[in-house]
Amino acid sequence: MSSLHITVLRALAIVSVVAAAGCVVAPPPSVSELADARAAIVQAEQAGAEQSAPAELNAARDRFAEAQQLLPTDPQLARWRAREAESDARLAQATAQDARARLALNERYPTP
Amino acid sequence: MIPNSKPIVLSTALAVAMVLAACVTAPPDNSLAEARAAVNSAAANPDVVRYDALDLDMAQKQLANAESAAERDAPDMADHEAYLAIRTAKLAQVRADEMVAQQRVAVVEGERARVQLDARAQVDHLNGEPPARTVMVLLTDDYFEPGMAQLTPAAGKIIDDLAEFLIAHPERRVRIEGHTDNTGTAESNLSLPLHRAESVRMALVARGVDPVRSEAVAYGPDNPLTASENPADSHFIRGVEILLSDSRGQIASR
Repeated sequence: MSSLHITVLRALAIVSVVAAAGCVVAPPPSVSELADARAAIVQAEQAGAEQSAPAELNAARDRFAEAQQLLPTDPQLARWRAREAESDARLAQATAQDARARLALNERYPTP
Repeated sequence: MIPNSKPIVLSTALAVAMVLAACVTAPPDNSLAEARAAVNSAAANPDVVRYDALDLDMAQKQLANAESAAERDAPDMADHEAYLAIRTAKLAQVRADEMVAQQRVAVVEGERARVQLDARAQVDHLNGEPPARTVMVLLTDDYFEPGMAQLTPAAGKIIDDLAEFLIAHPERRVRIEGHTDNTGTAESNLSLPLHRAESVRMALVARGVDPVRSEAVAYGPDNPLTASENPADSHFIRGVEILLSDSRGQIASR
């Protein structure tokens, strides 16, 4: 085996070790998306989404649970599910706030 | 039966293949189409454009991400971005809807405040903490000479205080709205309130308020001062409404 071959092999070995290390390190147990989603769900609950936006709130909870399950095996998909859960929760919260504003309006202008 | 079985098996296989193919390709196509529809419908809603352009902008970006992921043949990512776009577009619609409701409530509250506080009390109120919101000062018919645009001495004193406030707060703007009731001819119903609004504006300018900061408009009986949604309790008030902006120069629209 020529010295060139050995150098190439050595370089390949280094590259693959670095790549493998990268694979392990790159997708960190990304809890930030999950934490954001959890916070958004709590805010939606506090805004009264249980009553006025149950479909959106349940969608958020389902996707959040899915994200938790996926985290050890597929962190990328888990991250996506968490972001989706957050968007569901934000919609649930806004729907609850909208319902409250409409209620306040109806108290002043009772619709026939 | 047996001679026919081959074509049946083939067609069944074909059908199964088509269903399977549909299973694989349909979700991204469907969610993309749904996302396009949701974003388009939000963009077509003038309330969204007015009150929540930020979320609309975000939804459009997410839709663009979904489209480009689909082009790059990354269906999972396309699905994900399409899902976000749909939710954000709905969020924009719901938030705009909430803003419209809040604005209407503010109008009703403002109407009640107008009834409770006369112009004098409103202006005296300005001497305290400068208000964060739009302030309405109503000069009713009584503050003008009968049938004329000329201000009474009592109105002159209110204008003095308003001018002083505006000079001390150069970031505030003022809109002066003339209103009429539904008696009299259509022409006088528009020209008198306009002349009265102009007369208030000129009185402010004469006291040193920069004319650029003020505008005068008039409304006929089709846009009564009560701004009540409910025609039953909508009563017409003749007079001039002076709207002082908040500290950012914004005037809440009626």
